[in-house]
Amino acid sequence: MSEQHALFDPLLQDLSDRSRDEVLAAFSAVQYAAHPVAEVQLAGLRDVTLRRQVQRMLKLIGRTLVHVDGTHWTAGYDDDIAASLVAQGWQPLSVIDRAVLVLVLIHSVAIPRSEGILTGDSWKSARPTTVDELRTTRISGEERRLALQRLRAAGLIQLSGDHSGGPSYIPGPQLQRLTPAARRRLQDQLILAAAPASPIAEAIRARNGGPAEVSTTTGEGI
Amino acid sequence: MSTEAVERRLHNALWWAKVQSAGPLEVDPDTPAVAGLTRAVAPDGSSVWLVPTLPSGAGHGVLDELDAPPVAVEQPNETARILAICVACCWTDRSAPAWPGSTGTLAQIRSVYAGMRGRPEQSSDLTLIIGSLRRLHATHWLLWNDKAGEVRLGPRVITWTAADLSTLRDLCRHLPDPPPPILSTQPPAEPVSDTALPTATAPPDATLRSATAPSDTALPSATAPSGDEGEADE
Repeated sequence: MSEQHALFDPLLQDLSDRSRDEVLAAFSAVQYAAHPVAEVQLAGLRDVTLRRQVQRMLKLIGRTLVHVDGTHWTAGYDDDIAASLVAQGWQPLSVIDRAVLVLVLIHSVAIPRSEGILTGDSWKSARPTTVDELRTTRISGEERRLALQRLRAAGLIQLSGDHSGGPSYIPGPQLQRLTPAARRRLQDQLILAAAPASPIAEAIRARNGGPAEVSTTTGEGI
Repeated sequence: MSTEAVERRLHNALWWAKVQSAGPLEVDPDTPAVAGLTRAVAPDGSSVWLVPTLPSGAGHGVLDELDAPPVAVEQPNETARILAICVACCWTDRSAPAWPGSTGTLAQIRSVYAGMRGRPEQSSDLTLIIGSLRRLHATHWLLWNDKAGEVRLGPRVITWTAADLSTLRDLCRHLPDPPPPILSTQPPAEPVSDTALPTATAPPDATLRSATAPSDTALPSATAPSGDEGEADE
């Protein structure tokens, strides 16, 4: 198919056929692969000039390149676009889905990080969250089951390999799409939610310029 | 860049971010056009769906070459089978585009499913069928009405190319014919399509697979499924 594309053609039309193919391949890989892709695999990521074109394509659709572990790339929402959507009240994830996701993030990442088991600012973790840890009187078993299905289908959580105590979950590959600023925002939000009276929460509020409401914008900020 | 151009870029980027995070969006027909988002007019004309399109050369094909899979679809074979059956039931005028198609029923799907399996319906079939219908509804490949037991093809099918449709036409020929639909409601008036008939004959090699592994299954849908029996989650 060689139909015109109203958004991307102005960027692509000046490229040679080969460069166009390399750019589109890299664009597709960072957008649609479940996990970050290795820079060495694609000329569109290895070559700085081509990578700049990939970034331009992503910017047109509100996305940006995210560097992972110094060797891989993926794509996430551009911080300014995410901020605009949050300001508009945009939130496709239901409150129950967000609550279940946050529970997984607390048990799999926030607690191990506070214990010094996890380092860095990544939201990747091998520490499973068990179904028992997801039980809460505020969410029924059926609601939780359906939320887990939706979050898994969205790649926001995944089954952990450890089935010794029944199914358990770890953060999904989509969490790696968070930009550095989004990772920090997510960490701040969890601290504000879990320990609103702590000195560190006070420092976050001061940095953000006033008393901050806790808003769970987690999933779709990804 | 002029202020107008900057505003247009922001408008496009925001709408693209919305359809990537929620899937195709149903909006008022007066909503201004967004570059790269195809408008799929609802059968009754009361709304339009904004569906992302990509240039040729972009999409899932690259992932196979890289051995970098997309976010997995649960029960992929069953889900693909049900999508194929719904195409057979809802794309009745195969010389026209697949969107918006016509309304099919759960009874039709069950009948074709049993025929496809070459055996009478089993009790577990319905569980698998409903689970797949809800999964495909959540990703906008289908519009499934749980209450009425009726289904239409989803707005994503508007992006199927003439080559895709040619492949699907062949596929439909290999499926058992669905019985006539018995609808619970009056079917909406079918719009007159002025789209040219698809003529391409070269089928892509993975039409159905790519159709069931949509790019933003990775992203949750605003119209999330209400359940998905048949899968152990806890």
